[in-house]
Amino acid sequence: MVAEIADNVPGVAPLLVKRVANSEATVLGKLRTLVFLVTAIVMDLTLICVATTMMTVVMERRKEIGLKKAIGAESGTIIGEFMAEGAVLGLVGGIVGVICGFFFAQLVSMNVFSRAVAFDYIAVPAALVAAVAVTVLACLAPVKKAAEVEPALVLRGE
Amino acid sequence: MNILELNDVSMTYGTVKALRHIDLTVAQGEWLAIMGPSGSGKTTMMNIVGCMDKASDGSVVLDGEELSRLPQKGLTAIRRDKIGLIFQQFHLVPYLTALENVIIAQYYHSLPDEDEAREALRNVGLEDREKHLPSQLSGGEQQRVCIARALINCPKLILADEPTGNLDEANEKLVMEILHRLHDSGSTIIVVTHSPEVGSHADRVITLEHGRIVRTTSGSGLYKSA
Repeated sequence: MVAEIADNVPGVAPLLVKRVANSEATVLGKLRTLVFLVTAIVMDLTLICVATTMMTVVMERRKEIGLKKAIGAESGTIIGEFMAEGAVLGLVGGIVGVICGFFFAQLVSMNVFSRAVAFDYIAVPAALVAAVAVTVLACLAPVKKAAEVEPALVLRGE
Repeated sequence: MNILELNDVSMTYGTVKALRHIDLTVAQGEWLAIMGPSGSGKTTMMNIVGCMDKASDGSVVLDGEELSRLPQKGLTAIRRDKIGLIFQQFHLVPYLTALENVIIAQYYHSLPDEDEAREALRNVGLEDREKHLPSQLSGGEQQRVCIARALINCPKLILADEPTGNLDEANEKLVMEILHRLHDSGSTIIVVTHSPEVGSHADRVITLEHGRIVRTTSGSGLYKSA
């Protein structure tokens, strides 16, 4: 049938809708894979950045940690405090990220596809959970360092 | 009754002997000053008595508890429940107010009680500075907050490491008055100091040199060799 139409109607190159749809699906699939890859790389970079930042925070607050241990805080308590700080930072960052992400997705979608992006009620909590999870994971090494602070070493000899 | 007993206590860091065969008892309600030049072992002794370090040899008994047998968690509990620490550098948390800096000691001990913390600040004359950050307080005021924090959990022993080391004469006098009030009310105080002036306030002064007690001065001013 495609060949018949091509023969009988000059200046037209017909394609089966199924083929067009399949091509589109292939392109979208590749785009989706690319986006996942980029997301994974960004999350890894985020993990490294957060870990580095938290390590700096722990180093800057060594005296505070030493003091807290000197006045009776156990290592577990110090770990809990820093993990909670990290989780809250992750949550706040996640909320900001979701808002900015949705805003920029709308911009891109309107400019490229001339379509608005629908608000995904599953993606938002998933993004927040991922943000908190990445931050908490990134805090593990710095928090271990915090727990190892010895009050006698950091508080003496100024 | 003795609140503190050090029996043949030695401390070695690598090849360095910081304390050598120290025997010392401190009676309940006594004010002891530990003096000596830099490197004599004063801070090491304070760290051992304050449960921030463990002696290499010998035994340390604080309020009936043998510290050398305790794990790290046990030492932390002793520090939290029985010892009040006063530091030369104050070590206040910079982003907490004066009141919050006192409450933080309660937080790790039991339950925070704002009224109790306010009372502790009132006792050191800082009731109207409770909302101030450490950066907004003078050195003397910061040290008084440190004292309030050290006392909030009613410790059995107050350990002060150069409590007036960073203060001018007027604030030194204020802080010493507070320590005297505490002593008069029955508190046991151990002060590490370079200053003979500060040491002279104590009931007894021991002098360390090269990790040993070389001299003990009683409150009456009589010298006894160690």
